[in-house]
Amino acid sequence: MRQALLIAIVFITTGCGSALGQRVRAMQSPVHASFSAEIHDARSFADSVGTIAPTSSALISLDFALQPVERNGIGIAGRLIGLGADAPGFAEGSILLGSRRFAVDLGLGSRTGPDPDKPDENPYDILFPFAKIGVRSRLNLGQSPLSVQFRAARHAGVGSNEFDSNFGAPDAAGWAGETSVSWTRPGSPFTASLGYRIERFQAYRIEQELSALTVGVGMVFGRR
Amino acid sequence: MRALLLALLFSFVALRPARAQTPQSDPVDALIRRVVNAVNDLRYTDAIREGRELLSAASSLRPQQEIRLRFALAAAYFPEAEGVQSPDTAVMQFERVLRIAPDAELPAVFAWSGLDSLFTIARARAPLAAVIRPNVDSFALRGDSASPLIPVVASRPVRFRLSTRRIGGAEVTHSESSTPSARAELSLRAVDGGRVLLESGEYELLLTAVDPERGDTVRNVSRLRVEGAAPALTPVPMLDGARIRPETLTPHPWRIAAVGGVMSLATFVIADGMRATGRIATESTADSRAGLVGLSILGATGWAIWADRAGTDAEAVRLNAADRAVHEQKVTAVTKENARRLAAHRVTVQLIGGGR
Repeated sequence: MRQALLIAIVFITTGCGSALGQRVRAMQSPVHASFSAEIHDARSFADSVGTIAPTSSALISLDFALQPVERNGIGIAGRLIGLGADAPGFAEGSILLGSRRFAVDLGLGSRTGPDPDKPDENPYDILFPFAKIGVRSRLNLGQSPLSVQFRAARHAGVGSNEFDSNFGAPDAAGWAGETSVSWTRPGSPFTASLGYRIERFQAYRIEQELSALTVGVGMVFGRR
Repeated sequence: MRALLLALLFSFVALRPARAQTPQSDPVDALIRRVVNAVNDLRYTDAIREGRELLSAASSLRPQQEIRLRFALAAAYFPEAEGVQSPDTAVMQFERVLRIAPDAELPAVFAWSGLDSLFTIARARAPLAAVIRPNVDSFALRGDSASPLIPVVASRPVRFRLSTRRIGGAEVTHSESSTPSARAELSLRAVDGGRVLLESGEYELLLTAVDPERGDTVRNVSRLRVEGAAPALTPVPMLDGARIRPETLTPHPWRIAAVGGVMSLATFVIADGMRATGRIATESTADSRAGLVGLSILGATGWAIWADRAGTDAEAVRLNAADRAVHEQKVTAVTKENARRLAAHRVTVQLIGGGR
């Protein structure tokens, strides 16, 4: 229900904003801004004492980025993934160095991970802060309204997590990668995307894998 | 020294009982009248002596005074009595007269056939001369109107051109030109072509006369003092070329293929390369949906290559036209406002030195 409501809000906002978007696009802004909401049809695995079996869940992702289109500069980005107590949660903010075409992604975030006492029962109960370094790229496919995106990042745990256990240091670390193809309606900021995201995470030597087919809608402002 | 000389002459006139004294407010006029009377009384030597004394302070004389004095001297140098005639010196006086007043005529009081002929010869031999002969010493001038007409004369038909140049400046701005004629009336302008030509300061008023037949040119320079601050004008905005989008589309199929291919390949690489490495990897298979996305990217790439054709970018054309229209509106508004300010520009022009 909440997911449907969120998607409805994004659709309404996108439709109402198209005239505004046109004007903003006409300004040929050298800054590229994107806002999107995605549904992640996720498949997750957690390494535990029991049987390795996938768990399916639907996650909501909210994503924004603000960065130069062509010239190198500094941009910002942020993302929230999750929704629901039993689903993995993920939040991060980034500084982007470069342009929309290619940028280095430096950020901080936090992710829910396994409780080492009961990893099968509580796979996403503990919050692990992390730093990340990665790259992201968004390239147009010629003059068509299509573009492709790529993101990859290495995550490394930082600080201390809230769980005090006898399992030693969590040594949280992980990788995340993502590709997608987007269609942007000509003359409007409306955009839709289809993508794939995979993430590997490990804490207390307990591995988790999360892969998802992503479908999203959003708005893009500034030059393509 | 000249002032002292004139003072002595004035006191001499005042103390000496005049034989034919007429009410004169200007003592110099009285002195000139003495020279004229001497010529009329056939006392040419006295006339020449007194006239030359007066001419030694010629820069203090008004143009009309100098003209009358030189005519009197010419008559004294070339009297009817033969033997005392000095035609070259008389012609020299005529030439000086014609330099001051190119349209001058020999006063009847000095006229006789020989002197008439000599004056005609002098007029023919005199170099080209042109002068400004303003009717008023000062006048107000608005940006949206021309000044009162300023009469100009030359010693023969010429093409006149009236210009101004700020003192110390190099740029000459032309106000008006005439067709070939010995006389014309020209006007000054405070504003022309969206530019302020006259504002507070001192200027040279340049009268250029070009004889189209003989090809010689003369320039007469006088001075103007102008009061009136220039209006503040808004710079006319320029169209930013960086905002204009390319309106022609050039296909880049290989570039699209490379981008799409790499992105599609990356999908398969991360789907396998970023998987967990322990039991999860060994006891499960990779997510097959990565293939769906990878193939979707390939399909999108193929469509993009097919759609990427040479032609006109209609959206760029439309957006450029909109940008140009907005720019035109800004230019029109700025131009209109500047024109209003220029039209309201008001100066007072004072002629502070006659051309010589």
